[in-house]
Amino acid sequence: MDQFLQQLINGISWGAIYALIALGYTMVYGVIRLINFAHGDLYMLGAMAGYYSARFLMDSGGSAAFPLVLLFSMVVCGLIGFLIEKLAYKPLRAAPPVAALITAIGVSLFLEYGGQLLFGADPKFFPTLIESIPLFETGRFSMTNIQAVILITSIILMLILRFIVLKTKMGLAMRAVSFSHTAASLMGIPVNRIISFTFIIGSSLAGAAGVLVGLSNPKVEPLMGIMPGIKAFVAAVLGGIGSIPGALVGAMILGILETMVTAYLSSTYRDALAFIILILILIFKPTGILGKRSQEKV
Amino acid sequence: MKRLLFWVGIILLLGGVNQASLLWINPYVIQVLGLAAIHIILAASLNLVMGFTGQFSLGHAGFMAIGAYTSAAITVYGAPLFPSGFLFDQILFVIALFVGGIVSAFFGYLIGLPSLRLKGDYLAIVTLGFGEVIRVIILNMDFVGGARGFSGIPERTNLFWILLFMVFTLRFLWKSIYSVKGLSFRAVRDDEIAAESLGVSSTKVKVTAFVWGAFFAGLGGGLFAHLITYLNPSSFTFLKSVEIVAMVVLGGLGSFSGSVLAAVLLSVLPEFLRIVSDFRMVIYSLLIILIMIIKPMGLMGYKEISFKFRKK
Amino acid sequence: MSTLSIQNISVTFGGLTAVNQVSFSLQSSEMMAVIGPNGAGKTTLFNLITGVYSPSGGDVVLDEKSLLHYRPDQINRLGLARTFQNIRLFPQLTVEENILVANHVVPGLWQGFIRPFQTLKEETQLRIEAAQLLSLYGLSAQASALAGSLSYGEQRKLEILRALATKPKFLLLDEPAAGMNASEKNELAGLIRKTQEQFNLGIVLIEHDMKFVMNLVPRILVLDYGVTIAEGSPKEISSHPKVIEAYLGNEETCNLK
Repeated sequence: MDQFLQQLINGISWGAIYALIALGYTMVYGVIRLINFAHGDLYMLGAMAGYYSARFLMDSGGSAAFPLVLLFSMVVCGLIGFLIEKLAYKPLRAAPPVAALITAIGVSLFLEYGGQLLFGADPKFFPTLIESIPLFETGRFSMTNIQAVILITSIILMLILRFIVLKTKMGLAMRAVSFSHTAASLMGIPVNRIISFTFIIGSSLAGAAGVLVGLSNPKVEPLMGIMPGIKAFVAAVLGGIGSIPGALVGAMILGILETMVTAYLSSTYRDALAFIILILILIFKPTGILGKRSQEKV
Repeated sequence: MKRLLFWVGIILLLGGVNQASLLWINPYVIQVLGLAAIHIILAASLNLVMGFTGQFSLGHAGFMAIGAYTSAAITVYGAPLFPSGFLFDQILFVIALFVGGIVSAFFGYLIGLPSLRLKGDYLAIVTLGFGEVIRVIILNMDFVGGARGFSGIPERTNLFWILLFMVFTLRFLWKSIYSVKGLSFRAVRDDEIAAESLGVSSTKVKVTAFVWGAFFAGLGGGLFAHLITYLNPSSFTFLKSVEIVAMVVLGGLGSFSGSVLAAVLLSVLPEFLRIVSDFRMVIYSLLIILIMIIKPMGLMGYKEISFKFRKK
Repeated sequence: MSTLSIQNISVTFGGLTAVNQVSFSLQSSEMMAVIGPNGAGKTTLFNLITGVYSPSGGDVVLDEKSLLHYRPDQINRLGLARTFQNIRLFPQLTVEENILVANHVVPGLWQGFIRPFQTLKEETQLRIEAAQLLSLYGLSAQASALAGSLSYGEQRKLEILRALATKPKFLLLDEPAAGMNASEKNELAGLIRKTQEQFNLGIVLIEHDMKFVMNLVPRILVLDYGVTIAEGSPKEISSHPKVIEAYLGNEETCNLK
């Protein structure tokens, strides 16, 4: 039982990181119906930005405060996300969706290999921003302060996101754009600006996820975004792509399942089992857990 | 009769090409050309699924892996049970290729079934998941090397076999898709509901496309295994699938000539880019982005470079 | 002689009853029209008959065989063909190919490649039939043009031909004259009548324009809010108080005169 609870906590903390990435996927998909394959690499860039800013702060004598590093990473990733959309995706707004998808794959490869050139292919070790101390320990069951920080930070970020989407004019405009670009622009909504805004928000969340992962799992390298990127996408689809609560639910399920499989079965089967479960869920519920079914008008 | 002559002609020609290549072209170039031709097979077969039937698949590397591992296991473990000698080696090799294709086609059938309920991105993710599951299963199969990789595969693939199967694949797909029988595929792609209203079973069409697409991908995998003579599960990740998708889209959905062009381009380009070593993949990715922005419908769009046997 | 009979069919979409207990029956030599204001449930009725939607109650019976549990493609093969309100041609296929799609059902890739003698003979036969159909509606000249490049009226005609190519017993036409001008409508009415006589099939057509229907069909069913409000000859319908009420304020009221 202890071990189970322990794995549950580990799983939730992984799920929180997946959720931050998955939210970006789902938001971007919501407004332009594009699977932004480069999104996982923004998470990598977030970790890199965190690494360099923390090193810079430490080298210049001060202590690297976690909120500062987090904020810096989010800003950098938001900016990069903004540029990617403007340069690579905007010219393809009217093109067939699959052309934009291939472009996204191109951007992803560019960030990965560009990252290898810029940062070097070797893994770097994320500086210790927060000393790991167990918050409480009972037998074999413990929770560290880092896990708590990950969880709390993600919850705060998600609450902010929820506030933006549901309570602000910008969020209302985002929801309008996700229904129809034409209708939204006819209502005077600046569609392009809303899309840029969505990319900035989504990318900065991925950046935050990069820093959070650096806290608990300090090895960062240019290809680290590939797998979590795909997994987060799986989580988004699992929950029902385009749905924000869906991304959260999907990410939590995936995070918990993965840690459980690793703990109780074998880590080599971890990736496969996540996908098998995904396939089964989609076969029985083809639009994901919280996705809406759309009937084609005949 | 005309058809028989065509194939005899092709076989003689390719035999000649093969001998000539052994004499005059260095092995490295032969390998690059061979890989390009295998990519043509993979891209054309994926185009059947994506471009001509409109079903998004991100698991083509999985089918390739199944074909590669199955055929390699047959030639490796089947060799002692089979008389040796040049001719028997070739026969075993061809049998292995076809068995690889058929096993892969069977999995194509399995993955084609969910495609009946899923559309677009959901289908993409299920096929992606399928590819990954296949890879992880192979990773855990010890008799084909598991994570260490499968080595000691006999070198059977040469330009003759690759080109022969490439011609076979292209001719098969081309003739069938552009025949009256093949119209139902493009009809389902253009408008599934209209196609069904005309009595076309979209179920059968989609599953057929997946089955044949997987069959040829399996053949391609078998050729790959006996060209490189070493297999590793990490060669068949989702990135490999993405590479094949990129060829199809770059060349143009619904255009076999486009797939041929793009497969050659994307196989040969990285070799030329070796001169810029470190910048190779960066330039490669930038080129993909640029081509898509300049030609969003791919190099060929829905058009084919016309040959005389394409009836207007 | 076949009979298509719709028995008390109903469907609800999230609380809204789009079609409510509609019944009618038709012989395979008859023509009839379904009319009604926008949103009356006419197209939904077609979708229920052809298996695109499944009804929440009632039955569709073709020659004593219920069609309820068949897929749209199977229903077509049993003898029901249709066109769509918002034209659904295959834009990337040529005009001739659009018709050829209708002529076969099994996706045989092998046969396409090997082309045994029989397949070749079949293909030639199909092409001849397609050419005959095209000349019937005067589209022969455009046979090798892409369907997407046809004019609107031509696309409507091609869609009817494509449905005819499946050799149906019953043909359901969803607003075949929509978007046509008066002379095109006249021509189309003539073609539909000619088609009905030549192929001796049952035709149900949905129409907005009462005038178009009045001279074409002997029997009309009027739907409003998913309910049958009247059924009868054009004359009876045009003087039916409920019909006038349903159409009041619409331009069709003027057309009645």
